[in-house]
Amino acid sequence: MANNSFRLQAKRQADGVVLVKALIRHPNDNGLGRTAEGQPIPPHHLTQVVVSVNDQPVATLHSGSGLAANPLLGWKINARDGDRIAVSWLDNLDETGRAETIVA
Amino acid sequence: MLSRRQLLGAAVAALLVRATRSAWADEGRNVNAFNARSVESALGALEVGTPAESNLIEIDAPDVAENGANVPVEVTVKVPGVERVLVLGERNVFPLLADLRFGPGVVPWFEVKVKLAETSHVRVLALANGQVYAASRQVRVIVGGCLPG
Repeated sequence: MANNSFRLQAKRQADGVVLVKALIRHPNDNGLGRTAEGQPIPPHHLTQVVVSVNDQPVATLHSGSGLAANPLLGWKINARDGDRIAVSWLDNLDETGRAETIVA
Repeated sequence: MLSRRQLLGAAVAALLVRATRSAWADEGRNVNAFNARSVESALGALEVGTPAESNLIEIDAPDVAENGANVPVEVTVKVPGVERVLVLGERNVFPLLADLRFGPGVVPWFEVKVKLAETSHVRVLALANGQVYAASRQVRVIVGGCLPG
């Protein structure tokens, strides 16, 4: 089971743009590693991350196994106060996660 | 015990991910590019044209990364009309790290933490109006980040 908890922030910067930061809890195993017992660790990594504003997708990230474990991701978007920012992810095992926050 | 409300919430969340997957990301994830084991084959699978080196792409990354498993990369693209950005770690087993698409209303900027197997260039390609622009930055890696132990 993936731990679906992740942290999401959407903060307006001095230049008016909203900085969205997502810290996704995910192992991002690339399938090349082995356990201490020598067993191969199967690939388990994010494949897609979608940022949406009021349920409209505005940016996507596709990835393979090259992101760091528990990666920090950031985007800068134009949004109004009160807009709902959501970040959702999908991985190669079809597990999903989602977090939502309001622009303040 | 999960309440009915919790179950319903989880189901709706899962559906939303599926919906966004098809609604906006018109082009799906390029599996062959992500499985490619060289920069050339990754770019071949992506079918991007020959890039022109550009100083309109800024890559901010540490000159020296102690730990290749967690390297922060920040990219600012000043090419007008950029709609897609590719990030590659040139000496990784799987070089293609990220394929980002930006809708209108999103600043062509992002930050991401990646794994780098060894000292190499991080290469960024930006696609705008049918043209391909590229820039690179070298990161010296002390401990490689792709194989544990």
